[in-house]
Amino acid sequence: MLFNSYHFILVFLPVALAVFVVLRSRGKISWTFNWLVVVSVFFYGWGNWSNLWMIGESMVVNYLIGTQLGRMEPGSRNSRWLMRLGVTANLMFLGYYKYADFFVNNVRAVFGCHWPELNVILPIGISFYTFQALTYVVDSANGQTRGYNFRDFCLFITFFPHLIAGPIVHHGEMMPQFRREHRQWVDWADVAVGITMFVFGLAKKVLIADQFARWATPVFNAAQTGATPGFGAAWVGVMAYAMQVYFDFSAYSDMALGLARLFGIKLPINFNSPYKARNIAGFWRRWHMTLSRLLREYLYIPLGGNRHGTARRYVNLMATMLIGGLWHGAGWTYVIWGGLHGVYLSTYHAWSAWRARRGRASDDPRLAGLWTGRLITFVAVLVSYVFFRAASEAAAFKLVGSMFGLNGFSFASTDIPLATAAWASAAMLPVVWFLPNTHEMLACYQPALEYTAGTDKVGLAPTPAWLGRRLEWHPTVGWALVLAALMVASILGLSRVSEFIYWQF
Amino acid sequence: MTPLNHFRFFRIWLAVVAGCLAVVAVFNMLVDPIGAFPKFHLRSLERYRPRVDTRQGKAELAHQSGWEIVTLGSSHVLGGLPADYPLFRSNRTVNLALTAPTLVELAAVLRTVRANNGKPPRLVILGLDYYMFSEGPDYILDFMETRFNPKFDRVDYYAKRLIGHLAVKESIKVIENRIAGRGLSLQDLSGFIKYRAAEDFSHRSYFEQIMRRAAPDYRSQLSGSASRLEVLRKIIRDCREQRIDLRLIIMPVHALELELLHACGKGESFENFKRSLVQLLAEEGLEGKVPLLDATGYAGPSAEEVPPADVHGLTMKYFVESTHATPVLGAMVLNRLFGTGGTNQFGVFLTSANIEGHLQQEHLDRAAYVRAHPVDSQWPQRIVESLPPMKTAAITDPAMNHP
Repeated sequence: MLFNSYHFILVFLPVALAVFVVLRSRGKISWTFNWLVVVSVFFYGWGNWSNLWMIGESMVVNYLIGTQLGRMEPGSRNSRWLMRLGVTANLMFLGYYKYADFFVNNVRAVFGCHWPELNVILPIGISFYTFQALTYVVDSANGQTRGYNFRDFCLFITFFPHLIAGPIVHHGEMMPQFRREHRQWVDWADVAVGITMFVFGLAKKVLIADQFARWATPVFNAAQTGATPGFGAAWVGVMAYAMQVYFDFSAYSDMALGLARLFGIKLPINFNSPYKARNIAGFWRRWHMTLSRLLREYLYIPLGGNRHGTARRYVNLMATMLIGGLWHGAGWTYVIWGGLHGVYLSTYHAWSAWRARRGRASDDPRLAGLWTGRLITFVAVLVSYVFFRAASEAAAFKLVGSMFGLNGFSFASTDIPLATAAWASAAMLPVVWFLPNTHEMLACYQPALEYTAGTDKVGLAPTPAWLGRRLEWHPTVGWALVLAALMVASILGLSRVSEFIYWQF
Repeated sequence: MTPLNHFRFFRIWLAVVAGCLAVVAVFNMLVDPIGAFPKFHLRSLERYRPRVDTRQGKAELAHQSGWEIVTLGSSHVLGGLPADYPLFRSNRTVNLALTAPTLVELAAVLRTVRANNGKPPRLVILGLDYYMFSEGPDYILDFMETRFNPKFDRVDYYAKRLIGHLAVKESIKVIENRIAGRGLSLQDLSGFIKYRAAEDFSHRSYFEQIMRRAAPDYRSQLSGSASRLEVLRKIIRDCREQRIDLRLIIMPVHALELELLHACGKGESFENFKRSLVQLLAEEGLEGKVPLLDATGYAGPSAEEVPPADVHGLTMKYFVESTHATPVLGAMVLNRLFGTGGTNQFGVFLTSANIEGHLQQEHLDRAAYVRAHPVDSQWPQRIVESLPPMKTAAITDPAMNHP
């Protein structure tokens, strides 16, 4: 079930929320969480009930392994073996459903053998819930998960706002919220904040992201069918995609956090104006933040991080980003995308180290330096998006070739209204660079869990001074009317199915 | 502005949203542009409701009763047959052709008509094209979201009809028609569409665009399918049982479209498809009783010159682009089908007796076309050569490949 569907908005959510409010207001705290498990399972099973078997098996196996690990001495031989078994089982589970056909196709291509395709259907959300379960197993082996009951574990895995496309939550930040002493009445501040975030997200998806998709998709499709987009069409198509994916993922993240908040649960921040980043490391601290956190803490650091010399650091970085790329999808385009970001990050760190050796701090650049960095980062990310979006390597290289003038400098296009798309994309740049994001607008209501992993604590900047307090959200009549208008406009716009980009991962 | 109590804020927001949506829903229900709410909509707007070219609209049309003549097929039929053809000049004719349908979908359309029509229609004209005989999903695009599907999603469907922006746009169009007094003709109300083109429309660039868009699918997906032939057999038998006068047309396409098929390696397969249709009618003992008219070829209107790229507007008489004929050619095909219009006819009736001779003639016509159009005839080949390599082999049903 899509967040941006009539079923969800007109039926599922009102019923789920109404029963929750009744149970909560009658003091049935435990039942409220049971209810959330029921609706989450229903949400996941809707459309394909057979998926429930897979997530059910995954939950039972991981819970049993985690519980057993919790009873063992952390670091003991048996604990290490059981953890390896759990990690291997999860990776094989994910590997079969997500990568088996990719593997078969590559073996066929390299060795010319005739293995049949398996045509495995990818269960929705598998990458997300498998990684969450995997972190649970690893942390169980380190003695960090004792005392979780199965209901709470089920809710940790299946809680519907994050189940399909994240944020990838950590048991340490979710389980305490299922246990804490709740007030025996509904906190309407949670509902007001939740509704606000959900509406902002829905409007971003329906009114902005889906519009840009109409301009980006034809350009990528044309490249896939063998046509060579002109210089102008290539840049405008990729710019339109940059806006589409930005607002699509921002929308999803806002909606997920808002939905969770409706039920009194806070999720970690996942998207924090990434185009404001002034370097590529900053981009990754703002884009899909919970995946970055997971990759760093469960892959980059265990690989050795930056503790074994400069060369090893870059190798670890490249390995992490290549695997991060492959996590997004079973295709070489994703691997190339991850590899590109690995190169970007390595280049940035090498540049920072070079500057540091000359005694120049990279943290506090002047305005010109800041904008130079921001523009270079943005263009680098744009180029990488070509591989992220293109359906094949050939189409991606064709588009990149057009962007760099290898196919001439034509500004004509039969696929999209070039001028309109260009102006619309350009008009969005001030929005993504200057305007406060949802978290900043609602900062005084703490819309998300504070991001505390590692040393990259994110400080949410206050609303820029030049906008004053105008865009700060408060429960006023004005905001109620604005949000109602956005909600009505968005519901009117739900005329076609439009999945979130990250739902496919 | 003074902050409110959070509960009060929520109530104001909910009341405004619910109120606005209720107003929109009532408006759409009363205007009801595609006839989804016949019990509630305003009867006075009947003549102002355009039958839009959507599957939802066609499904609502199919649910009305009393149709006598039904035209079925793809977009070739949708826009390629003349609404003002003498036989169609009745309010009991309906064009239920869909954009890019599968044959299974067309069978479902016919089932819907039969189930809701009171009595079977008198005449069904089924426009066939090769593409609807390819293997693939039985139902595509939004077909399952329409009332052609008995198990359609009611929540989604009626929500879209009540509070979807497309429904609002369609409703506004109806109101505009009403205000301007633009009552639609009976033919327009019956599902026929007219091709319209932008000012800078160029036939040549549109030919290029359509062929380029179609070529990858032709190369990888286009195939004759024995299972699809069985669907046609079922349609034929059902019509026979219900004494429906069924007439089959292989809809006209431009010669360049046939060249594209050849460039994609599907020329021989297309000929086998025609043989299969003839064989099917022979097996059913219906040769001559269910006419099969082939309106494809390389001669006459099919070989119409494509004007240069700098000529703008709908200047071609018989074609819009490589696959879609104009109603002018459609009228000639219907003349041939019904034996009207004197010499202004187009098409060949196929039978077991003439099929091989007809295909031989087509080979000769093709050679003549290539000689007469040395540059244009290479055009489809150039498009195919510019495509990226195919990843998977085409699925071809051996049952369609006759010796």
